[in-house]
Amino acid sequence: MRLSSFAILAPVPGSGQVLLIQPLTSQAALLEPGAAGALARLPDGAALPASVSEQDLRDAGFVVDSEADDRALKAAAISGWTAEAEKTPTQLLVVPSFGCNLACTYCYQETFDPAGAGLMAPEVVEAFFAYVDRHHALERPRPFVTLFGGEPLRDTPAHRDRVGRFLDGARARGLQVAAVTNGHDLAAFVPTLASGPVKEVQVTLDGPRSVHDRRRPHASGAGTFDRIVAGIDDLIAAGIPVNLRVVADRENLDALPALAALATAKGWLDLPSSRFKTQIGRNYELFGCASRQRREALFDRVELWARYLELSEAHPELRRFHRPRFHGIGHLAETGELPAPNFDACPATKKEWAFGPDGKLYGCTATVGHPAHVLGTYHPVIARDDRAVEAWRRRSTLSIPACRACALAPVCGGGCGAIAWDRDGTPLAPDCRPVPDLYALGARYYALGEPNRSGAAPSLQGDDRPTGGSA
Amino acid sequence: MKMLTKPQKKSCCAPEQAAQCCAKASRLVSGCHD
Repeated sequence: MRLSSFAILAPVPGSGQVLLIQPLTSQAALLEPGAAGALARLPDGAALPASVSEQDLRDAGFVVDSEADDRALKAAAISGWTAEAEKTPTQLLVVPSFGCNLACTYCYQETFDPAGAGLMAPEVVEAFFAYVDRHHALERPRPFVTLFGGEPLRDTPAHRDRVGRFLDGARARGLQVAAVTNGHDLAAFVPTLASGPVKEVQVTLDGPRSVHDRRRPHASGAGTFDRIVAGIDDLIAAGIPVNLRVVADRENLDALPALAALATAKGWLDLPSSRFKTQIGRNYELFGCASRQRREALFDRVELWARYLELSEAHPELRRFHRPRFHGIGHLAETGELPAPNFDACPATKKEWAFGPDGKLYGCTATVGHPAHVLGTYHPVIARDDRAVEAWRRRSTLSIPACRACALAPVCGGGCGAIAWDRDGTPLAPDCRPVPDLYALGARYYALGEPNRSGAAPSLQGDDRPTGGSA
Repeated sequence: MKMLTKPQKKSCCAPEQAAQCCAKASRLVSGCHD
């Protein structure tokens, strides 16, 4: 008997306990100090500590007797993952224009061809829906359309016309629409969005007024905070679900408590998550640093979430503002279940396609508009570059050579293919995630194993444990 | 050792049954970035 090759041990900061995760079976346990070392020494004949049940270890798949056992666990997990992935709707991400009315200091699109700032012509909108009809007409679950940019919601007659066309076309096909917007001109669009099949609007606020306006000014140099906050209020009043995004780095993370205070005062945090939720997106280099972006201001993932943990311990109100995922530990804390393993974190050409304003086809949000990542056209003709598409489609931790033997692959999923390409010139390369570190931070954040942990289920064992699925 | 999750049914270890019994109570970690 030995630990499974896929078992992950993550020492919980400040507790002496060790989180034990078997991602292949979605099982988790907390080990007392010393027990983790004893488990690691099982092949040397070490005895199980009295606090550890062999039956529990075996039932959870934490331990195996052979490599064949590990292979069987992996095969079962892949089967489950395949079934689960088929339930994921495809995102069809459309960029009506790369033009924008803001001048954010960290914009990764600043090097894009200025010609892309023009607005998509009406016949290109029609071509987009012709593409949807050809390639996604029968798809279940139904795909959804995301309006992206640039800025898709600018208050001009032409922009309003195109947004109306997208909403009409989506409605006619039973597709929902999401929008990713800077929120500056929301007042002009909320009535239209409220009447359309809109599933969510993502708006970015980078902090309280002074912090936000320094990072996300209007192209004229004017502040944008007040208009955006008013726009969020308008969305909420219209019943449109809001996904509030904060792009975080060292220059604004410490202002999060002030933003949380604003959200609390506005009543946003009293809304159910189906109407208001938040995300904290790490500011990072996608294809190089923006000209006004200081590289040293960027966090890596562990730094970001470690600092967020510190902040939330000093400012407990942050816990209402945002509940981090920590690679599924948030889900575990809330439901008593770990997410299924994910052998492929990259949706490009599988569960995501992107459409440029010039009729070009791309694989995902990260690559749209990048000339190296054109996968074909949808206007004036529908023509896929099958070879280029296949290079992305076959990407998963089962095909990336460096991922095949990695024990973290069922959680990491190989990361972002675009970042991997930028580093290695091919999507068939890894973009590794610090899984054990994030597990450990998550265990601390959610106080796993403590009887009265904040915001979590009261018990994760026995009769009190939640039994219903949450998917 | 304190289990944080309920042990799965053993049948989940059989690949042909995994899709039915494992998928229903789980969900993928979503999102390709943070």
